[in-house]
Amino acid sequence: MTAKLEHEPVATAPRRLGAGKKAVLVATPIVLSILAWGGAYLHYTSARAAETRRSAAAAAHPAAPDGAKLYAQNCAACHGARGDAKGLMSPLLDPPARRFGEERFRLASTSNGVPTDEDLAAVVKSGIPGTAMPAFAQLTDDERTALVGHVRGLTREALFARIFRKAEEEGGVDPGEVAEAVENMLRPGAPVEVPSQFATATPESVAHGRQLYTQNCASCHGPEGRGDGPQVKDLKNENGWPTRPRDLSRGVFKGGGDPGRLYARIVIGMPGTPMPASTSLKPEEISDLVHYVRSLSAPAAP
Amino acid sequence: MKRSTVWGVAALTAAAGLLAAVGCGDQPAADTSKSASATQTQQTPPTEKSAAVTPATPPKTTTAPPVDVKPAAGTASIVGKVVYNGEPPKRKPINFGPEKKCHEHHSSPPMEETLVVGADRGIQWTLVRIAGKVAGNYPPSAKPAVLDQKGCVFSPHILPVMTGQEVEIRNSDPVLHNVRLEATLNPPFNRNLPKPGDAMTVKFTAAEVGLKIKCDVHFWMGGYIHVLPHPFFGVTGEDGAFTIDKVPPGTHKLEAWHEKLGKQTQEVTVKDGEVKTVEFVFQPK
Repeated sequence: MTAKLEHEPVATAPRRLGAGKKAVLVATPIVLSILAWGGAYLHYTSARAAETRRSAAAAAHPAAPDGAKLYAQNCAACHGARGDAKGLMSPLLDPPARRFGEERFRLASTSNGVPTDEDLAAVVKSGIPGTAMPAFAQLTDDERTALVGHVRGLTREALFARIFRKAEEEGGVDPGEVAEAVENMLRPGAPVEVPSQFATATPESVAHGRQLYTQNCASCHGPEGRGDGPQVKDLKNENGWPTRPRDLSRGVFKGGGDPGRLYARIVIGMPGTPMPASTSLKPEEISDLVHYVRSLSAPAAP
Repeated sequence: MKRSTVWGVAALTAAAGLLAAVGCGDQPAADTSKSASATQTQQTPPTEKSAAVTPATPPKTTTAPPVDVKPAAGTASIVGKVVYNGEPPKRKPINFGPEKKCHEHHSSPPMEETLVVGADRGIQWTLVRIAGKVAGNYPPSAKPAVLDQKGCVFSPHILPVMTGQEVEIRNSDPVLHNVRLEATLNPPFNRNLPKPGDAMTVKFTAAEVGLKIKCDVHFWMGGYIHVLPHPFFGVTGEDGAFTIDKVPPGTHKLEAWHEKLGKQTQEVTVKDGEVKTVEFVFQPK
């Protein structure tokens, strides 16, 4: 102990510095830190100024609607933040909220049942009558378009995961092929032609429609359209959720009740549900069918 | 001692200053995103990721497979049996319920086909295939495969087809059927076939095993379509036996797939001209 203490000054003696060098040594870190703090302060103030300028500019020219933000505000409670129907309200809904990508969209205007952006925006605008999906009529068209863009992103992501899993099962995953399969699944088919004008229903057209109804629809929707066909107990959607055929006499239709919407529903069906696409019927037959279906919910003649 | 204290304090101060510079530099940026949207930081990554994935789609898939790849003309065979290791379950007749017309094609009530175990415990309707891809180019049969709805059952109950092969689905009954197919790698569909003689044609583009097909109008009507990228598969008959011919030499992963019992795999190595016998044993579930 003592020996060490005695030796210390001896060891350091040759390295003793002059007053000038000492000053430099002490001053350097102080100057450096002053520079650093100063730089930080300058950076901060200039960033704040830029931020102020940006928000002023944003106020002058409102930016495009933020789909993610709109989704979080309007949709996530039921559809879940990730579109997996794990939102706060999801467990309470019957039928459950759509799980994007895991299940298909029900309402489309195309031959392969894959909706266009416009189809999705129309559902956002009108909602789905008879279900918990409300109409977001208060949003602007631009906001609904942004929302659809965000839903598309969630759908694409979940579908990619689902197809990837299945491809893995099949033994051999090529991410390129999976990505292509995803795009194929999301690509809407040719638009289904729907007459822009429908002739007024006549007793003959309704009677013909009834005939076609008995042959094509009554097994599920029931002889009088009350959703009580003989085989309906075990109907299930793609997710295994039990479902019922629509009671047509109530006049509430998921895709809307005007003739054009009903026509599209009959031709395209409702993807992911037991409601099939009736592609073999002629346009005039479908029109008569539409007349009959609408007659079921028409107010009784006085 | 003194000097090191000075240096230590100096270094700490400088480090703190630098940290402050870096930290403050980030601060305003973080503020911006927060003020723009509380959820953006959470929501943006998936969109970006999926957007990044999209252009990654390689254009190569549209090009034809290399011309020099010929079907590997194998001369080996894999034969064998799929066996049930338990008491064979009793088969039940299908209850057609109120649909009287379903009986027209049957002299006796048809039996359920979801698990058919023969007297010698062979399991019918099991797909046995070489799993995954097999080197070579295998064009599908030009003959369409036929799936008939006759007597309110799907016939055959299990239909294996090749990618690109035409599949005709018919209604031969005097009642309305629909044909609903759920799939992941192929486009799903659901068609109405209301009249006897109504039919639809479909081609499957992706190899995918276990495509569930059903008629919603008659809840008991179910079956499976298996889509395979090569011809090395067989479906077990009533005795649980299968045969796969013209197998290329080498080691293959052989898979047995049953709708109720699940799947099993085993590695099988064959030489040219060899006839290899394989057995799969399924436990009751």
